[in-house]
Amino acid sequence: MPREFRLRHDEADWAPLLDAIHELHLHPEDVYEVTALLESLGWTDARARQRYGAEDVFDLARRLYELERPAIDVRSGDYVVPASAWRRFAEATRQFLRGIVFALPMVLSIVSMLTLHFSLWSYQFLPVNLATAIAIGTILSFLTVGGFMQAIARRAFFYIFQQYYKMAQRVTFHHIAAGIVTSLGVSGLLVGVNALFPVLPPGMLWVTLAFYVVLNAIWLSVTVMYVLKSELMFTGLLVAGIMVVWVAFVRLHLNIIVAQLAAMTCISVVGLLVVAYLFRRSPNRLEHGIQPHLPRVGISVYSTLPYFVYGCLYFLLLFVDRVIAWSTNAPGVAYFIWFRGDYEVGLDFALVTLVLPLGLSEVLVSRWMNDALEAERHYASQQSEVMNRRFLRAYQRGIRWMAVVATGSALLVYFGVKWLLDHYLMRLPQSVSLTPNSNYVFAVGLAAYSILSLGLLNAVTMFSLSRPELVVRPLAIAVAANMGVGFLLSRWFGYADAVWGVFVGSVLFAILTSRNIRRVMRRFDYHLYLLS
Amino acid sequence: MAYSSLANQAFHLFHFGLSFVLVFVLMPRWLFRAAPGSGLDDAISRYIRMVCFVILWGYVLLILKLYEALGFLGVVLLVALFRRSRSGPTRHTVRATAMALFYDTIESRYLLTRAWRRARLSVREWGGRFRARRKGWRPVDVAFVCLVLAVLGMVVYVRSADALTNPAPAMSDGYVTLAWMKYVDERILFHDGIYPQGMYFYMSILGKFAFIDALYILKYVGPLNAVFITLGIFYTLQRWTGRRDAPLVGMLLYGLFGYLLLGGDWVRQAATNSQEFGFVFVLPSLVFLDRFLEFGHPVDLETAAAGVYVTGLTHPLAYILALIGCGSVLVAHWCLPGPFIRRRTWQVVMRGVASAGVTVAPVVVGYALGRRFNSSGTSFAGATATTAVTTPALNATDWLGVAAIAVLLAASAREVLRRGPHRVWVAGGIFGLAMFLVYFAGGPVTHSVVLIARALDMWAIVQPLVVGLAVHVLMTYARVLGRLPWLRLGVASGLFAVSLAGPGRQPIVPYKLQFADDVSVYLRINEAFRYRGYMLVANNEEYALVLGNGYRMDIGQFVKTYDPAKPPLTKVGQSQRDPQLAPYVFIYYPKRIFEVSPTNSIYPIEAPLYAQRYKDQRALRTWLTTYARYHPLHVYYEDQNLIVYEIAIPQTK
Repeated sequence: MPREFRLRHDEADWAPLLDAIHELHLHPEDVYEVTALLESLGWTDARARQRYGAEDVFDLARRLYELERPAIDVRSGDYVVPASAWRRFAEATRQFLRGIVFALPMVLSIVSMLTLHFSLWSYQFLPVNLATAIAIGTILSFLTVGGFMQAIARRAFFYIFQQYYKMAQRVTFHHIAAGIVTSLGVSGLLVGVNALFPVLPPGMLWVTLAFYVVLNAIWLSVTVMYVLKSELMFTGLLVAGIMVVWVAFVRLHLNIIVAQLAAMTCISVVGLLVVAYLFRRSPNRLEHGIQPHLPRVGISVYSTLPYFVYGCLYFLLLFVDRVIAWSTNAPGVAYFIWFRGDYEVGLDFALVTLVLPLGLSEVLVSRWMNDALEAERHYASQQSEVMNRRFLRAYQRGIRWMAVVATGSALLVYFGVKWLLDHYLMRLPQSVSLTPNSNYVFAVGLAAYSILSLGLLNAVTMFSLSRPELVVRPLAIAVAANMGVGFLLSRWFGYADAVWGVFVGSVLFAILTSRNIRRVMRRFDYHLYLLS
Repeated sequence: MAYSSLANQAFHLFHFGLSFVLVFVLMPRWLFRAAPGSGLDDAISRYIRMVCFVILWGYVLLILKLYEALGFLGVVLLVALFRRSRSGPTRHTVRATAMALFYDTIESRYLLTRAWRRARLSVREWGGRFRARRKGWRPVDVAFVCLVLAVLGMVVYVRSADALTNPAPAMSDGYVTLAWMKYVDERILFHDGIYPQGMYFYMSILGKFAFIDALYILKYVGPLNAVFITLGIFYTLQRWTGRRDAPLVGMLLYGLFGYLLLGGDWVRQAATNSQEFGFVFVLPSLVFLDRFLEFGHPVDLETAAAGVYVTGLTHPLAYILALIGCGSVLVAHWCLPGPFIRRRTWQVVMRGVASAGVTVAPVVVGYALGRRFNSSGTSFAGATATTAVTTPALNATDWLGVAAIAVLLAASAREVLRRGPHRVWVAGGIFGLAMFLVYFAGGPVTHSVVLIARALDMWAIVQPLVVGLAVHVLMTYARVLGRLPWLRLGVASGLFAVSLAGPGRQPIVPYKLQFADDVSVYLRINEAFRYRGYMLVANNEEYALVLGNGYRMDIGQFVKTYDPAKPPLTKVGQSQRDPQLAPYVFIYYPKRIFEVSPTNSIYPIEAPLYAQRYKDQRALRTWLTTYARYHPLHVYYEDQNLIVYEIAIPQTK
């Protein structure tokens, strides 16, 4: 039985000490944890005796724990005052804008191509061999670092949500270093493989590798900017990069490849510096004097591997049809893989359709997760089925909304692009045009990406519930279907028919993830329990 | 780089070799079960089965319009996965092992270190076994090995020297072979009519993973076939006799004295022809068939069947030779039957029937696609001699072969009566006799032009076999010879020395249809302009070279089509440039018209072409003179035989 001691001070005197404890840990588990926190703040037995009349630090901790326990009792059935409609609308708008802001760089690139005829890593009038080299480098960069991007996001968010920014910084740069080493390793491997099987002539190979390495660095820094909620930073860097290309290419008459590589190198270096700066200025008040080791490599890899695999497979789903289309044999095709500009134009325009649905996805998932946290307090365990049905209905409503928005977005993009090309861009000299193949790929691509947005909504929801395996397997099946269908149709009919691969893949991905998420929603209580 | 430069040949040979290793050494390890016997038996078995796989799947993929590197790799992957799923560790175990290795690698690399230590231990153990085996070697054994290597080296040199120094395709067949290989690449089946495409699939697959110009594939595959035939003779005799004297004699006879066996067809050893490719698989198939009939291992039957299928899918004469050989082996086994001979015979017969189906299947497919038989092949196959056909005059090597057959038949009779172990003598005797009769009497009896012209090539494959087996008979009965290894080595060395003194040491130089520099220029143009697009204005020989890479127009047609006075290049009667032209046009102006020797058998066929070319040359000279008055004429290349002019066509955006 703990010995009681008389309070020698008012409770108000305990507030600073309680605040200091809460700064370190919001919910200490027991007296011993409070004791440890006190000692980490420099409290000794003597100081506890002198300041508060406690026998020792343990005694002081016991008193503090009893004082703060009422504040942390959780009672079921707490009523949380709902936010006003205006606040909800503002929050939804903020989330929607956050969801679409990632697409700004893509839209800017397209605008730059249409008006200036170049962007940061593309140029309308490149010889086909160089366009092929750059395209290969770009796709390879996505495939290589796509996994790292997902892993960085996962690990960084894990620490940032707990406000451990220093740890987030360390794990982020650890992953960036691993990504850079991997890209250098892949580059070496490509050089070796090309020496044995000269798929590309040396000139093309070096262009491929140059773009590949620099783009890897850019994507890694972009991911961190997104994690630190500085998405607009990359948009700004992109604009700056395009300006650098303009100066170097248009004014100084440098070779376009040189100009772009120089601009991208600057952006990648500046991007990494910006990332370092963002971490430096972020609050790290919870980590005074703490320099824990990063988790064991095996544990980190094990926990992020599904997300890593998802990242690789996701970009594979997006790009493998292009590789299949470009590798279609035809008269005049010089090498194993040969860029087809009209196919690329069609798909690039089609990608714009993802902007609105992904904004909506951010809103929906945020709302569901917030509602889930509230539901954990609101529903008793006997009401779990009721809660599950509620969330299943909410999901079904959300998916219907997503279908409507995706369809609307596809129609808007289709007619918008047509109008833009017919009424505006055609007046510009040497403007991009939609050939019959481009138009065909554009239409099918729109349908494919619209359907893909449904699958992505399911994927983000399941990631939020930490169930990545329910996403990865459908994605792998979708990629395999994409490759199979795209390969067969492109060889039997024409290279433009490779786009049906991404269509079939998207449909499969949407169907399989919808089936999985329905299973999850039917046992939503169980998954929330796992999440806690 | 000059075609014959060391760097150029090293580069292309390296990539050709790498492609060969990938497709015919590594892939078979993923696809097929191991064959019983030694590592060499397994390697040859897998090679034969892989060639069969390539040809059969090549037909299937091409018919499905999926024939390309990715399609082929996809098939290999699916078949390998299917095979793995039926045997070996379960998928779960494989995945668990892979994950364990992955995590170990990123954490501690223990498994990698252990694998490295195991590899070093294996190398040390192998070295120890080699040293232990070497201790049993006598100096005469080492000398025999050196002699075999020396003979092989000469065999390779004699057949490949021309391929490594002269880029022009060998013989008129070379252009057809190159074109048909490229049609297969372009997924066009039977472009010039129904004809077995086996070798063209083989070459095409090699080209897909070598990433070198198809011309190099053409140049290398021919000598490779001829060397493989020689090695096949060696292998067959070694496995059938278990000794080294007989194989060495066989290899010498075909490899360096082959000009005595083949006569005028000796030049085919350095050319690339489907007949010789088919011959590669005949004798090794007999080895595996014989082993199956004796031991019953299913992989041996699989290998023998694959070899016969390949011959059927490649060339009718190779197929006939293989069938006669297989029949001889089968009869030999019935003369000296082992256990289960009935059941094994039944299995062999089934495979034989299947081989007929496999051989005929492409014909059926061709008819279904609306094709008809290749006209020149059909007319050659169906031609009969109108004049009286006499039996061929037998030379010394023919009499040697006849004597060997006599020895074998006599020995065979004794073996059959005594139920001796040397079944191969019976097989060799029957095979030799059958092929000698085909050679000696086939033409006079059937009047078939094919047999008259080509029975010699079939007989030339069998002669070294029967002579080698006869040597084995002598060695078996004259046991004293077995105790005189140095004498045997001396005789073999003497034979080798004699071969070096004769025409056998000279590199085989098949006739060509164009100057070597013409082809070198094409290689240079193709390397620099392939991705930009080009057209050659040149004679018909360039068609096969350029096919699939660029375009070609005949000189006569070019001169008639384009007006030299108008902006380049505008058709006669038009005012705008021809928009269909490639961006770069190279005009071949021949200073000298290439002609084959008037003593060459094809001169009468080529002579009208030469006359036309002289006319075209004059017309082109006039055209170029007019062109030079209006436009600058850039010389891309010039030597004593040829000038190549380059015209860059402005492209409208």
